[in-house]
Amino acid sequence: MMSGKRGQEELLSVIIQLVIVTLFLVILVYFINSAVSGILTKDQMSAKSLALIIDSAKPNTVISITSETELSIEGNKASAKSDKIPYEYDFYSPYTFDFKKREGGVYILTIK
Amino acid sequence: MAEVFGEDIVIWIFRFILIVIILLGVLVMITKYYSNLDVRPAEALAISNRIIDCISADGIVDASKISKEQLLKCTNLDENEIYVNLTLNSMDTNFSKSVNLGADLEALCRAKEKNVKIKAECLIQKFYVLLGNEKAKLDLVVGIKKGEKNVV
Repeated sequence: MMSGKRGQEELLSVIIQLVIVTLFLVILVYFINSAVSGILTKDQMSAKSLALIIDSAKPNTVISITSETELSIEGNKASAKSDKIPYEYDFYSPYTFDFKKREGGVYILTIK
Repeated sequence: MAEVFGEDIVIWIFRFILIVIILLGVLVMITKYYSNLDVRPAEALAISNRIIDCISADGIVDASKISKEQLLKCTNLDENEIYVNLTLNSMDTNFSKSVNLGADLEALCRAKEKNVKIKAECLIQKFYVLLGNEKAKLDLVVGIKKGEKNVV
């Protein structure tokens, strides 16, 4: 009887350990997946892409951009926001431009 | 339950701490590795193209446009973060003109050319151009700091 009870306790202990380790592994895999697929850097990617587009664009150009994140331009900063804190990146274009949002996450950038 | 934990409690705590340390270590490394996308090479190329377009037309350079004012007019650069050095040397005469803009990263950029690791990103280009009817060489160095938002 004693050895049976002892066996049950050890089994329970092992099961609890396995559950905890599995939980940690799931969190780890989820986080790695988010990092590798770019979810963690989505805003950064969008803001930097927008800044590079503006830096590379020549005058009298109209560019259509589709983005899942909320894009905006303030002064010489391109910013992207999908959560609360926006990510901003500087650009250096000397030209003036219009930046308008349309439906379906489409933005129209007109370099003048 | 209390007995189970009572007997193995020390081993349990150590195992738990070990797992947490390993997990945190992996998370920190992944976060650091994926936290910053370095776009400075593309940015330097965009700035370089804009400068070249600004001072030349069809491969013919206007020497009067090689000035700090013109560079600022062309690019609207942040002088604390970006460095530009533009040097024009005529290959037929002794004519030479050079202009610098921004924080001096020339020495660092030249060091990077020799594979010295630095935190600034540099683009060093040479162009063979026409200066009126003369042949000329245009050296362009674009250095970008902006480490905070680009370097891991």
